[in-house]
Amino acid sequence: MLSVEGLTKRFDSVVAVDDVDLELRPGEIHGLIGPNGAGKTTTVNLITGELSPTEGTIEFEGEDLVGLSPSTIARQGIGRSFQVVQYFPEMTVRKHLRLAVRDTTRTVRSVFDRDADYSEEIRQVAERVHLEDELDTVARNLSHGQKRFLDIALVLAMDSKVILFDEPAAGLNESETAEVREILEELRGDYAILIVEHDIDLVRAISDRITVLHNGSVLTTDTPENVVQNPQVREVYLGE
Amino acid sequence: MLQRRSFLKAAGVAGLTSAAGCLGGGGGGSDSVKIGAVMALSGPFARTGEENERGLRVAEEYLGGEILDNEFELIVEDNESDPNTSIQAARTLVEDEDVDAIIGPVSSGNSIAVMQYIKEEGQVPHLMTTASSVDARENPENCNEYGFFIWPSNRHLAPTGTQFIQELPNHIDRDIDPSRVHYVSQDYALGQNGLELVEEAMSEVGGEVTGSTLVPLGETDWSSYISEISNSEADVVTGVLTWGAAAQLIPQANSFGLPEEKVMMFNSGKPIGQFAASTMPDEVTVDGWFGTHFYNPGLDTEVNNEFQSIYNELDSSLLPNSTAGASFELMRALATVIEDSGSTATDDIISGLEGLEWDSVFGPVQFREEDHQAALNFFGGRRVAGDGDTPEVEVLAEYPDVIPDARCSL
Amino acid sequence: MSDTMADVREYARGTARRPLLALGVLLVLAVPFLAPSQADLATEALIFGLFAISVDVALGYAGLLTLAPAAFFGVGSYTVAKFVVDYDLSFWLGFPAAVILAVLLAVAVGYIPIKRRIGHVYFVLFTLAFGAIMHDFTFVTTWLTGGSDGLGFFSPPSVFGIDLGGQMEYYYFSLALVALVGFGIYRLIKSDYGDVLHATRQNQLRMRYLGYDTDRELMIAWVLSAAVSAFAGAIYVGSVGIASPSDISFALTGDVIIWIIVGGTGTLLGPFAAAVGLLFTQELLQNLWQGGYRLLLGLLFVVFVFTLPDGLMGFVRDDE
Repeated sequence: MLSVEGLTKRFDSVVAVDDVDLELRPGEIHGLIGPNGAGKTTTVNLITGELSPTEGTIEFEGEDLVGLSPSTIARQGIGRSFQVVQYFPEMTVRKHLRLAVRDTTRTVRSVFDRDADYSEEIRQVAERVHLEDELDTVARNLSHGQKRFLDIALVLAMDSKVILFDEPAAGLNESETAEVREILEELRGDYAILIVEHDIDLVRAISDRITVLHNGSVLTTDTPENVVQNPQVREVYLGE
Repeated sequence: MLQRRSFLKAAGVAGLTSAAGCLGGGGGGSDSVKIGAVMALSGPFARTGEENERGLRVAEEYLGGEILDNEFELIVEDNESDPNTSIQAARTLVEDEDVDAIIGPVSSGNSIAVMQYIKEEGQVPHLMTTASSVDARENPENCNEYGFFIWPSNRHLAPTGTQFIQELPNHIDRDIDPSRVHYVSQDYALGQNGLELVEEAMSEVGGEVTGSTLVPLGETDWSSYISEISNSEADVVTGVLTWGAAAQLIPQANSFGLPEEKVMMFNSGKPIGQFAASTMPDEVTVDGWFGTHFYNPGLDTEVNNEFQSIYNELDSSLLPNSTAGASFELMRALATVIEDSGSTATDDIISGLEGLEWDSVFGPVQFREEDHQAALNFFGGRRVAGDGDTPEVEVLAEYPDVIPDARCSL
Repeated sequence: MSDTMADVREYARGTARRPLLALGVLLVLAVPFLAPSQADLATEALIFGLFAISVDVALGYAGLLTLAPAAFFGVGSYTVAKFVVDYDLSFWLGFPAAVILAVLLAVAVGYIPIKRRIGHVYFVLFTLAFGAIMHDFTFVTTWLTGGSDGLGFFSPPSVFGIDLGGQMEYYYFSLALVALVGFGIYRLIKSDYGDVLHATRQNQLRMRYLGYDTDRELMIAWVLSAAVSAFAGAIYVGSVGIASPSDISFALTGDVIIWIIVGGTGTLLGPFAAAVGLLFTQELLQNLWQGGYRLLLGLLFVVFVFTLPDGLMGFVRDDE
């Protein structure tokens, strides 16, 4: 569904991402791991259009994504959650989801729309992330874990086909991490998912395949079992 | 700063009048007299406005605070040098305070705005202090029966100044061609109108205006303009200056040595008026500065002596001057008319002013019935070092009874 | 927060609202009859209330820190004055011309800052420069604008046999326009677009990643704000009869920003009420203490910024 070939990003003399290939297939969870500075978040930023690649192609269902703006790419069906949770502190969960669910190209013209009712879709999405009881809570009052779930919920509400999770378990305790895992598992069948993570256990447990990045280039792409036993990978991670 | 001062003054006035028991309803033939003044107390015309206001205070003192044996109330509003605010101030005075007459505002542009209001709605006697544009007095859309002008217009000044320029070669050592002048003023109604009239006046004596320099209001750096003036073809520089402009031009021109190159002959007081004499005595006695004016501080009459005496008692670093004199005389005229007729009704005041001839600090003055303008005695001269700190006026030529033809019949 | 305050809030929000609202509407409609001498002031209050609303859209809702409000207001007043006084054109023609001019200027000024997503501080500087240029331009190009003399003097025309030059007539005219446009803005902000702006202000990044073209949405808010500000200026000059430099001054910008802060940013109703209330306060103060109004505004500004950043509306409403 989403294929990345030869993706390279240079910042002056620094090569942050070097000739990376990646393939995301529907129904699969693909892990992306590597030490700090390996280029994981840069890769995600390249896919979402935040940065433009120096070389390489990014194709989504046959369409070339390179050069498109992040909002256009988001509309195409690529959803992203952030390493640092991005949300709207003054708005309720319900308002968040409503913004995500509705037609994002129809803003001013929505004056003429009768109050479209998205309450069913909103409730469904909220249930998937266990936030159905918090719909009227103002976002800044949610716990850190709940904010994370909200971030995930936004992506789900967008009706994306590809979801890029950037460190979804960052800052969560054990039980929250387990919840995240549960949510991700439930998502498996419907989307092509990329998950960037530091938590090796989580990634190993849920990924179908894992790509290991080191200094911007791909070390290996393989099943979790093989990746864990890969000697190069072990060497790189020994210092961690 | 300025705002606070006006508050204190207003408080002071309120204190004066509240002490009396007289609480008349206000305008139109009631017990105590109320006079409203719209003054520029802030903004580009503030200097002139302050002096106008000072003149009003001198008049208050001179009248002993009473008209018709009752304490009268003087209410001063700040128009912030803005036309819109001027109209609002006038409206407040007429509609809320019910004043019997309005004095001011200061600038020509603001005056026209208030004239329009008075003509359409306010309809009380409107005595203008320092507005000199002819538009106010000649444009049928503006001139109305309520307005009175004591200050000379550009049409008083331009021909007088032009005549004096023609006589200058008789009074100075330099070799100059008086048929060509360069015009300098500020870039607004006063200055632009003045230019047109000087062009007219010069062509009537067979001369011309070779160029002009109009400086934006509020400009403090005149160096580029002085270069422009210096490069002009004419030997004589003329024009009309506001106090703000004079305060900038005179010292800066001196430091560039401009009066040595050109003869600087300005109308309406500066540089030979009292303002310049008190604030920059050494600058104006520099050879090359000439002017025409209608207020001679040396005029030895009872009223002028008393005016100067009261003025000097007030908190001012300046000498008694024409700007303060204008508002002083307008108050006096109002008071005289009200006392003579015993009425504050608008029609009575207007007809009273039309016939009034009186001895003012400018000499004998009256308002012409046809268009409510005043004839004034002008003189041309310069300042020279005197006995004390203050330079003296040296009168070189006299032009009595100057008044242009009426172009507006009321 | 005491129980009394909670009770007051309940009261304000509860069923007592409806009849109060009706009473309010009646009062507004009856002003020229109840207080005919104040019709002019009431007209001015309505116009400035609309002005405050327009700036609140940009400042309060979209989070665009602008120092240009008076620049657009002045564009409105000067365009109409220019059309009528110098070009002898219809007063009605002046309105669309003013709005179009304001839109063009808003696009020109806002395009780079909004597209480039420069931070708040730089947006302030951009709009500050724009405001300063417009103000100085007005003063200097006396042949175009009349400079310090202003551009006047005219009376609004008659429509359907009603002479708008009368105080009362112009009051209703202004009321109708303000109500119309004010309601339009209210509908817009109440729609999803208001939420879009609100969210964009809090986290533009997230909105982009939800698929919103945030540059476009902000631009729309900016241009709309400018257009309505100019519209308010156009109505204003009809009531005064002369366009003056004070219409395009930073003093006016300062006033409107203070009204918004006192009323409550992003509440529309708050700034409107604050504008009206403070204008009437100014009128009262005029007679007692000249110059006190400016001092009061300054004090209010400081007090509200430090103790009541959500303004009066924030105080009256519960937190969501």
